[in-house]
Amino acid sequence: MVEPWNWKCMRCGHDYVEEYDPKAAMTERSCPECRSNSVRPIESVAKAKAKS
Amino acid sequence: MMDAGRHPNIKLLTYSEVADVSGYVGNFKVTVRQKARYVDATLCNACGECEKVCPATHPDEFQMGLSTRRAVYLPFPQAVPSAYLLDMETCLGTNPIACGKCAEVCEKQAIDYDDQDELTVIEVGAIVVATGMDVYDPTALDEYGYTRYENVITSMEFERLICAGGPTIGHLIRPSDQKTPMRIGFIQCVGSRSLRDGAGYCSNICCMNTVKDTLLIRDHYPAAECSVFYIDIRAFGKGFEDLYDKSREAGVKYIRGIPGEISEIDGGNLRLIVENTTEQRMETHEFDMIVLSVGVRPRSDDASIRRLLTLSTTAEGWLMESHPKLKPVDAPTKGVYIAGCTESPKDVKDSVTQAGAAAARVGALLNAGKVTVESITCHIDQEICNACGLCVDICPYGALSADKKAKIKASVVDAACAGCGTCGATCPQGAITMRHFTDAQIIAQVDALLAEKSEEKVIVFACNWCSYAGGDTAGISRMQYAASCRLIRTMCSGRIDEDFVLRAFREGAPVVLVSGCHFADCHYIDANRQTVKRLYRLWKYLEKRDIRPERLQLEWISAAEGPKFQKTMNQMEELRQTVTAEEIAHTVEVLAKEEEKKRARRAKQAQQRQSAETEVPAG
Ligand code: SF4
Ligand SMILES: [Zn+2]
Repeated sequence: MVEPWNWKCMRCGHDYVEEYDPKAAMTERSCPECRSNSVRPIESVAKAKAKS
Repeated sequence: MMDAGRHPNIKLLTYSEVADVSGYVGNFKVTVRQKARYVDATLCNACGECEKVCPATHPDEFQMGLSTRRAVYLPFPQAVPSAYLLDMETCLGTNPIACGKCAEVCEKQAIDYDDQDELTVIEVGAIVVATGMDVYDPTALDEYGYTRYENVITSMEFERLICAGGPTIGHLIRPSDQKTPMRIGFIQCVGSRSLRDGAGYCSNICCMNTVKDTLLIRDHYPAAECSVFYIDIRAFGKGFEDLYDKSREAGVKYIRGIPGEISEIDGGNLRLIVENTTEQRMETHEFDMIVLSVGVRPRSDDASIRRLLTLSTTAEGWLMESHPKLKPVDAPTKGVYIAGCTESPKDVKDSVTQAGAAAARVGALLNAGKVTVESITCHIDQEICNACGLCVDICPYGALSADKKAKIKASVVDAACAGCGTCGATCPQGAITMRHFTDAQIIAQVDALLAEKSEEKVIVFACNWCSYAGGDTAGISRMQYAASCRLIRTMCSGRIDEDFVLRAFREGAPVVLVSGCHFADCHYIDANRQTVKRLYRLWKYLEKRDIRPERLQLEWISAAEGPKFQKTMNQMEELRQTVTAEEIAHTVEVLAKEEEKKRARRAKQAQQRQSAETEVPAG
């Protein structure tokens, strides 16, 4: 299911939210701040909210 | 098409679709579903008597719905074979027979209401995909009122209206009152060059199509006025600029600006508001009819062909060629070629050129009689493989087969394997060896690079086609980049095993960079998607073990991106300088322990396997 996820840039450390579906076909991603491709999905926003 | 139909070496399977494809270059087996046409094409002589008595009607697809056809019909006048077919969806019914008039009048007794779809398997050595394209439907563009205003039509509909074989036998009329429109407006780039309409690309054919249409109008109706609203006219081909000049000389007005709104005024006439960007003023124009010059879209119904032939597409959905310059008509799957608008929007001339090139490529392949394959393929050790089937799922070329349930171990068709190495990096048993890029060879490179002063090195895994070539571009352009970056080449970033990365960290590397082709450029269809998945897993793995995940980096660099290569390498060096000796020592210690655990686990598994084998009673 596509939903907003928390992403982190492994290059510049920028945290941001972007849609993601771990089961769907991948798309090329880059950090909105530094354009690096070293970006990592941390967890879905919904899951993070439920935790806190 | 007639020639193709008559050619002794060409078998035309019309009204058919591909149901399945198996095999590989030189040995494809294609299962074709020939749809039931309910008319025996070998008996039908297209006399048309059935059509005269058929009471059921349907909008005629060939005439863009501007006229109707019967349930039994000839798809279009030049159809090959020249035989009727019966559209069962439109027919009043044959079970029980509700009408049966066509069968009654057919002297040849060609009508067969019991006809069924037929599956035929054909064996071929090569496949050319030329599935064409779709035309943009502008209904969603509310401002133009297509379908709301009868006299707003698309360029495809206009084409039928002005065609001698069209529903009006070439008499230009407007839909609302069948009068000849004397003021006609054309709007360019409808559904093209606008991300809002879902396509940022130029559809390539619409400008010249409009130029041709305006000349036709001026030729048939000299008193008619034509205005064309455009962003810029793309008259790029041979003789195109001359044609454009002729159109202007013939009195066609070209107004630079894309209209913002169309509204209907009295009698079905239309008012259009546009910002004329040359004159820098708002203008209002009135027309009897407006033609939307619609763009093209990739076929929406060829997903199964793409899946069956493991073809990849651009972000917009056009089929990807193997190499844009060196192999422009080869698909990435060996033995498969592409031609026409399925690859990108193009006109008839370019489509014919591309089709000729594809045919020549097929001829060269088949006439050679044998296929030379690269020696970089995978080898599967049947002793180690446990038939888990993971490799089968990830091979972009469908070159592997295995059956988990039936415990049939993996095997590979060498001719179909492209040598990306993704399977080798995926196999959890280590049963797959990539020839020329074996685990041992790559690990030996990692070890050698880190044998001395490992803390001063950045290990860079680079794919052959893009990132490594990006390094070459940087090199030949004399771009300076950090000397600490040491490259290890693999064919595809999909070959980079998690173990290679961990090995580098275990041997003291402060930073590891995994690099490959941009998604659209992946030379192995989509093998680099596996690279990303591995990186996600590795970041998690490192983080869990208190190792800074940022020390592992990912970057897509194309062969042309020398400056990006340089910038990335320099960034890696900056990152390296932030990694402390303590961090490295901690990493080495943690990963060494993990490796020990893994070895113990493997030894235990091997022992279990061995004892299970000895327990099996002999004979
Ligand atoms: S190397 Fe690539 S193409 Fe060859 S079998 Fe393995 S995954 Fe498929
Ligand atoms: Zn960033």
